[in-house]
Amino acid sequence: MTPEALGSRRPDRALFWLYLCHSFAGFVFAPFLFLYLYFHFHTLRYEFDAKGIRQSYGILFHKEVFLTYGRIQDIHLTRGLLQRWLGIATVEIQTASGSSGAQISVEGMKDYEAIRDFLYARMHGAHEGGEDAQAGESTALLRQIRDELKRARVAVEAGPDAGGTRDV
Amino acid sequence: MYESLKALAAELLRVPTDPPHLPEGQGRGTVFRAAPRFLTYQLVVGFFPIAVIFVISTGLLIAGAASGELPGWAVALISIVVDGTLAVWTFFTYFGLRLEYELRYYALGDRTLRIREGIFQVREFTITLSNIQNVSIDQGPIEQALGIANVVVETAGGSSAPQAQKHGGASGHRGVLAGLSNANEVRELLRQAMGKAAHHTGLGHAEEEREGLPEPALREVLAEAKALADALGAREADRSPR
Repeated sequence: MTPEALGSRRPDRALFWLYLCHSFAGFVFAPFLFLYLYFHFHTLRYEFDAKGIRQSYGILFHKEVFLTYGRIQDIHLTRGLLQRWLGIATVEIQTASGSSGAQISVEGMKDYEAIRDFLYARMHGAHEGGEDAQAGESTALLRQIRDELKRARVAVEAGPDAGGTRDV
Repeated sequence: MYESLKALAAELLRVPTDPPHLPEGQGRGTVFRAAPRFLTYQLVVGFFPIAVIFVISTGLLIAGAASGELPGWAVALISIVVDGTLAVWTFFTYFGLRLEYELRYYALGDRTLRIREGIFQVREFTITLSNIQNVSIDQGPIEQALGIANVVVETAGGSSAPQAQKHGGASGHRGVLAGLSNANEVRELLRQAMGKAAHHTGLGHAEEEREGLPEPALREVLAEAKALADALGAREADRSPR
């Protein structure tokens, strides 16, 4: 999959129902929790581009997180009971930072498997040969330099005889 | 009985029963599971509190009945309630642990490790082998007696205390392949994979790969530059007597 295919994403409606269920866990604070989660759901946005992924949310306290694919350390896919019933999952992405919590969690996507595979494919070490191709390029350049040096040497060696007349 | 309950759980709780697949291009890799003795271990640990409560409650009831402080009907009622609760608890513990054991999968590909675990919260942990920082084996006394061990794989990053997790999530930078009877083999496999990627820092740093220049080609350039210098020197030497 290409970054363009994912592009800018909003979570699925199912996440709203999940948040509604979550807010009941707040008992007396449920209305406040629901209000927070309501705005969280409506402002939650993910953007996938060629280099990385960006998550933004919040109205009063706006937050935006950006990370590059190459820095991803591990990917967690978690599906709770409610999420499985709703057909969504949370893809948690972690970089090598201090906290053990996820840096970005991609919530409420129905095509979570595809998103995980997309992220995995861009993670460090997912492909062999990336580095060999690099090395191959520098080797080719070095060989060109060597050949140029060789040409210069041959010319110098041939110099006194062939180019003797030029020396006058 | 167990199988039909399992089918019901898979249907009702939407528990995935098929083994996890690896990212495309790596086929299924090697999919393996915890050793059967891991279930024994889990059951020992899970049944322990039940056994303790059973022994204590039975002891108290016998003492109460013997001293005559409790009438016979009260002893009967309490024992029915307590033992009934314990029986239900035992049943769910057994069913839950067995299902948890059967649905625990480890998939190892050429470049990937994936762990799936959990029944209420299904968690899948995926890392590339080149991002592994260290592999360790840990084994408690009961596990030692049963001949199983856990292989712990860690990636770079801070605290991995399971308590510190948000949203009931999977544990930080740490994956545990629990209950393996061939822990040493698995560790060796992982270490080989790490060895192949030993020149990486495993910090997902894309630029690091450009740092190293290919040594053989550098030597060829050096040899050629030396030859050129020699040729120039020889030419100077030729010219000076003139």
